Amino acid sequence: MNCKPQALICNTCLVASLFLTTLCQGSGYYLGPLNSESDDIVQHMAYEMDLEDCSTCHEKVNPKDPGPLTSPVNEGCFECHGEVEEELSASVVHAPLLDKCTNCHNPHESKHPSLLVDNIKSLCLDCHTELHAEIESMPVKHGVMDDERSCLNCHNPHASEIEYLLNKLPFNLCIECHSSDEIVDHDGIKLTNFGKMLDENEQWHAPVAAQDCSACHQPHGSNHFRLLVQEYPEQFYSPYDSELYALCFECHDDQIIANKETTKHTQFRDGNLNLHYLHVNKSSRGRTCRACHKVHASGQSHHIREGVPYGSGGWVLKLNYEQTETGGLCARTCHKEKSYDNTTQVRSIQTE
Amino acid sequence: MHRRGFTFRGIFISLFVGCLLAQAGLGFAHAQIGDVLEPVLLPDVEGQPHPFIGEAEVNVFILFHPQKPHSKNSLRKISEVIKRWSDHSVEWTAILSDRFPANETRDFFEEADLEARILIDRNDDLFGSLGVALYPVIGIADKNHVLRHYLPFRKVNYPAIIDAAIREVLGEIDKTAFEKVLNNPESSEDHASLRKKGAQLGLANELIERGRLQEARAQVLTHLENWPDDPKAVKILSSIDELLSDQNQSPE
Repeated sequence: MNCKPQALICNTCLVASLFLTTLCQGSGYYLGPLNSESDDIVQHMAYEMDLEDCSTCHEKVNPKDPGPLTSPVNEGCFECHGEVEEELSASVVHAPLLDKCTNCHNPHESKHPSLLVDNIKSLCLDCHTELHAEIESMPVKHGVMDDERSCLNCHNPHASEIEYLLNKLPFNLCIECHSSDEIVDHDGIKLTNFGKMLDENEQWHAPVAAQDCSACHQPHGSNHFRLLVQEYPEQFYSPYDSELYALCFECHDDQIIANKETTKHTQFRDGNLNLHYLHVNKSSRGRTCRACHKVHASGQSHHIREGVPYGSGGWVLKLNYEQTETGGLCARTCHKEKSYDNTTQVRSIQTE
Repeated sequence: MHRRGFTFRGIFISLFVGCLLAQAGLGFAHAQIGDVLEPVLLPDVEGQPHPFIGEAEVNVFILFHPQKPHSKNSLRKISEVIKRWSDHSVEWTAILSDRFPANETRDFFEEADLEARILIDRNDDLFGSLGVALYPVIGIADKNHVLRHYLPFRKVNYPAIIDAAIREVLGEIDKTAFEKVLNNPESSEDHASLRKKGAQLGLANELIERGRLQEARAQVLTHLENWPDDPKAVKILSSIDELLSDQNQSPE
């Protein structure tokens, strides 16, 4: 961590400042008074109240020579900030807090919210260097990273009952913003109102039902469109290549599509004829997952989409899928009506 | 030809467990919560057969794919969970397909530091019989081999969920407490306002200890402007006023 002394050094409290500058070597940030008349400076209540008496925290009263603290940093802070001490009992506690509060907060004054020693994003990324590099290099950005609260939109910097110091489960965080018709991506394209969409569709994909958007999306930035964690074809048709479906195959077995015949890897089969293979595993015009499935939620079982786009006129042909006890059927849309039964080979299917 | 109904009857004896109704419908494609699972024998890496479900109070089986990041990362986290339960009657089995090369499998386990029995599913027979649709996925069976929990992968809080599921099977927590961990862990988003709320009263108490009653009173009054009904603040204000009165001072 680099030491980042503030430009404004306290003149009236020079001795104190030098003392604190020495202290700051641990945290890397200047922790003394800023001595600025600027309106955007926020003072610590204990400091603001006691500009002429430092003994609330220090051994001496004199601002020019306050002496050392009367107790270790966190003990002193917790005298007033008991709620923060209580947070230490959470399942996940941020290591800098266990060390000392002054890793992130200036105990005197700051031009940043919550007396932080730097703006939120810079402060976090100063330690989280790998993440910093990722965020900088990823071509697909998440807009929330650049707003004023940045990391704090999703993370609690002290402690949490949820891994990665998340404020809530990923779904609950994401849906707070993505339940609007007004959110657009960096290209100005409107993003789905997921609150509405999920309300209207009862069959949720397992990661959605598990409130775990992060299973498929990388919230800090990604190399793939829509912040996906891995490759996933954007198109309706694609030659089959398992690498293209890396996202799906993070959880699903690529054997679903690998073999023409199976009795184990998919229920979408007619007897032992693998209908996933039939639809997808083609050297040209293989149907991608999105051709038949909606990835977040659908009104039909197996996340089958309601309709498929046809032509350039924006037509959507209804895809009337019907699940049966041992299989299902698709009404005439992409092809004539076809049914399948995964308990027996009911008919011969011509494969390409 | 594989007949699902036949396989299902052959391997599992369906058992309805009333207390597990809340999770009815959840589970593997061919094995639901409440089903009794037959402890099918699978070979370990040395070829010795072992039942994939043990005889412990809690039997955890993890089905995973050694080449996929979600599986790898989850197993690293699960290895910590296994250590936490080492002095309890909890048996752990990790199961993978024999499609993966033995040397790759060995390397993977050394890296993951997993204190679990490793079993090999030949020809994906067990995966097919259970109807495993994704990796990693965890099944938890009790001592009677009843499938009590089906826990598909989650990137966030998976270890906490596994812990809670084990505790539920052991009877340490009830279903409601498990569901809370699963779906509704305590949010920490209100901590910021709680911190702000606590800080002024904390400082007021500090000032009272130092005998600076007027300043303490000012802090409490500021606090009450934001949280007028806070009984804690009202109580502190009252005690400050009593102390001021004892000292023949009036509030400023």
